[in-house]
Amino acid sequence: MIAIGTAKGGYLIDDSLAIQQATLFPGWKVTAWSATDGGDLIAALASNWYGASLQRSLDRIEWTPISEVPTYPSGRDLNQIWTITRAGDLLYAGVDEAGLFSSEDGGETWGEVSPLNAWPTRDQWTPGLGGLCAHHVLTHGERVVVGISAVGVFVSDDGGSSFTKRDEGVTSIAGDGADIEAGRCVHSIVAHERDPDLIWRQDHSGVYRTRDGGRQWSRIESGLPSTFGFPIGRDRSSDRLFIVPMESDENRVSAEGLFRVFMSDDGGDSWQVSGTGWDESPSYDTVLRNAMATDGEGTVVVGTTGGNVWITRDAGDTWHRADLQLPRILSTEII
Amino acid sequence: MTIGVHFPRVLSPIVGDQLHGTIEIDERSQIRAALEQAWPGLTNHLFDSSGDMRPHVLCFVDDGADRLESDGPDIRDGSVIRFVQAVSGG
Repeated sequence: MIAIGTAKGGYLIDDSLAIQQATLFPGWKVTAWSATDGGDLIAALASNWYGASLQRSLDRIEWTPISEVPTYPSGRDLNQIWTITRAGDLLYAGVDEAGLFSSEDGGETWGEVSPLNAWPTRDQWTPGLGGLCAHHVLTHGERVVVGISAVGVFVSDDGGSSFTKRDEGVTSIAGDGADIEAGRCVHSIVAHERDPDLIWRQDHSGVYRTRDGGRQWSRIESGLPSTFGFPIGRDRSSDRLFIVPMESDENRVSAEGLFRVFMSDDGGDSWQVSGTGWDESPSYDTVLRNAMATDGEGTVVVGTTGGNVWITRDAGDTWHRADLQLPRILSTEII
Repeated sequence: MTIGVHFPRVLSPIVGDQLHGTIEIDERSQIRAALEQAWPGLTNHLFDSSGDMRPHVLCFVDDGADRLESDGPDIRDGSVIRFVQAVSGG
């Protein structure tokens, strides 16, 4: 089953890519999904009028609201939940306005991760077009990595008790040489499953890799038609990486007027179009940062701003476009 | 006193499929607490972190627009609070 979150509700599609549930949460943006070990499914909703909500389903048919959403005691607004990430029995929620919350009871109650939310230069953080948001959380043991736009990457090696900001080598949105702590606009991050120091990053300024847990980042852009994009994903079974290049920051459409996922077979050293199956007709479709999902077993799903769903089940060798068109897709998850 | 409450369908993920109900209060200042008690989590969606009603939430009490502030117009037994789907959208 694939969960698709759009600007106009949620959709569940089955393995044959037929719609099984539609439209879930009419009128609400569905910004993130998280399946728990217990088999239940959490959906994060957002409304321009009513704020953020969390919903839980035990059977993927009936949904009930979780009465408590992450809330800042300081009075900051909670506009949207960008990610719900499982780490053992713990759940992390990355949110807009940018911050991190954790839950020890499966999402029923939430507490602030204060060392990050009270970062000393927090008042200097500025939003990207998508808002000031903590949109990716990676975990491995005591390691917690948080990507915040347009700020940078924060790393904790003690389970969130303390963080360091690690963006050395990444170009600031203010340009090379700009002496500001914030302003590294990370778009998406993904880590190696067994080596938490090996992290790949689709940034506003390009594509990067770190081998030392973020202390030093280096560009990995060979073979790309452009370096701007939003999602980055990794398939564990093939060791392949996937990104979707856009034309540029100023022109956020498919690179070269053709919708293509690009992949790397060598850890990011080089990139090429991922497999076959792509439409030859012009397309200016794009993919947002949370709209690429992998299951680690060769399936990769991307949902586009044009409402298309593309899927590969052989780790990027062949791609297929589902015979449907949804509203603007914000999030995907393989559940 | 018993106050009727009506919700737009867009709030069904929060309040459930029953889009109307009632709250029991003694005075106007108890409305927000009564709403939260009847529909846990609801007030987070109606009011922002400063306590003001969210900008695009439309609310009427009987025949008048109302932001459900404590010092608003009198409310009486049988009054009806109507939350209406915002006319802003996209």
